Amino acid sequence: MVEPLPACPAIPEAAIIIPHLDDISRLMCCLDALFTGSKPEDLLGIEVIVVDNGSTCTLATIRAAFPQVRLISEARRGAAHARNRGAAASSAPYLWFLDADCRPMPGWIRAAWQSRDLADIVAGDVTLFDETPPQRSGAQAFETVFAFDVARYVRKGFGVTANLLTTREMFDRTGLFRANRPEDKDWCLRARALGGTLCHAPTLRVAHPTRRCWRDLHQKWRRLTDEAWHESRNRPLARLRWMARAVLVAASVGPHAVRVITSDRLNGPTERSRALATLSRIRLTRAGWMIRQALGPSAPRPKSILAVASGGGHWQQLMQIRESFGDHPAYYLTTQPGLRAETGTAASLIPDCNRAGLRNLPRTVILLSWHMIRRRPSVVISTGALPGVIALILARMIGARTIWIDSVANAERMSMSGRLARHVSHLCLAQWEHVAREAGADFAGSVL
Amino acid sequence: MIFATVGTQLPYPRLIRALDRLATEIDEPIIAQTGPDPRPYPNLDLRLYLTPSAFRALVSEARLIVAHAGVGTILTARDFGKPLVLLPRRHAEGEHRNDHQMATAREVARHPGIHVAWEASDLARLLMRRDLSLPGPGGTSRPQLVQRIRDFIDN
Repeated sequence: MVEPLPACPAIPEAAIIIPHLDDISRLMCCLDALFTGSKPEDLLGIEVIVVDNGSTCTLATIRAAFPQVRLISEARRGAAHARNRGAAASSAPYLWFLDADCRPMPGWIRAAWQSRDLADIVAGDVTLFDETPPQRSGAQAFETVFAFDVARYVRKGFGVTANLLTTREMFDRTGLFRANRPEDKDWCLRARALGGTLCHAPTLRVAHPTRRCWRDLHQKWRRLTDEAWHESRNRPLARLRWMARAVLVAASVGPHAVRVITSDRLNGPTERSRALATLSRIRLTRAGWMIRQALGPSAPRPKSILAVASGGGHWQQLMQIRESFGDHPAYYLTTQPGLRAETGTAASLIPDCNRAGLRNLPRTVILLSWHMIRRRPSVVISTGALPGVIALILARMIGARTIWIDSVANAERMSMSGRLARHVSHLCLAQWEHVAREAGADFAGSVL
Repeated sequence: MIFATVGTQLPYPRLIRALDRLATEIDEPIIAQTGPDPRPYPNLDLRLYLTPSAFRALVSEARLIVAHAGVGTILTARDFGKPLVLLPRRHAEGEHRNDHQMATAREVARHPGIHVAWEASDLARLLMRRDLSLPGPGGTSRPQLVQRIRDFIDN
């Protein structure tokens, strides 16, 4: 399908990161547009990484058609996790983000290369196209008028990850994309708060398909509404504000109807009337959701979590279960440098110690005690090894609740650390049923 | 490219020596992260220590991962969808504090994408095969584990 590429230099200059979930035909179009629209010399030093987010379909066609694309996978659902994985799997100094369902314009890579240093974050433009022949459905007509107003987003301080360039330096400084919220907006605002600059590059374009039908549009707005409520519900007067916003959303039908009627992008009275109907329907639906959210049960109070794991397998297992922390703020302690960037949040180093080398023990105890006093966690969790047990013991002294997850590496019997930890942990989980039974621990599942 | 890793804590000369010998017989470069092992291995591209991001980059570039039976490596290979050949460390050879890697290897040997070399002499056959199965997504009981922890934290 495409010409073979010249060999990539050892470290690519830029990584193009595309998350994907069960949307092969659109991903094919995206990659095809990316490669056929670029001259071979534009592709030098560029790596394209597709991060599969747990698709049930096979990626064999992609592998066959685009052997130069790096295919990696991320088990945790959500584009935020997938983009983070892509960034972690590359060492390129420039990180460029696209969506699998968008089509980069011809020459996108060259345009990205030329715009890469305009600002710390370069927000490319998103135009819309319909995947079906005319006339447009209500959802398509509505999106044609209202979706992806990147110029307006940039004035508000963010871009969209369907077409966004940044640098490794900015990415490392800002931290990872965070799931369960509009991750591009959240990330851009965090980067801007750290002094990162943002600009709009109207000539760097991708085309995004309009949502075809009401169901797709409904799904998109349900997700956006949930994410926005999730993000703001812990602020003061959140319920009152959300209620006020619901009223504004409903009332926006009026002025926005004028935009539909005067838009030059819609053809004929049928598209206009369909757009008007969809506009009213989606805004009233959203207002309904928002009112129900504002009146709904309150979110649990956040608890601060201290998570402790030695480097290597213990740390990897902690990463596999950390989604259980939900929205509770977590602070990480580990023994291996360089893992901090993976958490996207705060982490500190503690010295390692084990049965063979107790030399560091006093320093480990002192540093752990300091973190306990300073952070006053309400929950302390560890996946091992010995520093984790010490953390749980100290946690009991300040009245925190404690969780021990015994390493899945202990397939025959619980580790020495685990047998110690069982006596000081409120919840002690082994990852093998027979190991749990023998040690008097609980079993719920395993990361393997 | 074949990427070999022994973790950061302990050297693993039995594995690395075997790979060094094999490197002259197979037509594929082997990059090896050898940990605290000062011996020279002339036929391997050696990396004593790798940053986590450099480690992941090598995993994603490799055709095949060869390693000790460490959980970190097993999870990483699975995340990147790479076939993994394990040579578990043995307590009797002074390669680890106990034989837990043998137990881990026995348990994971039935997972797709994980191929256990019980002896160093099994490595050649596995490294030359081009039809090694790929890992599945795995972690089928992980959601229950996560849910149990979440419930505990929330209540």
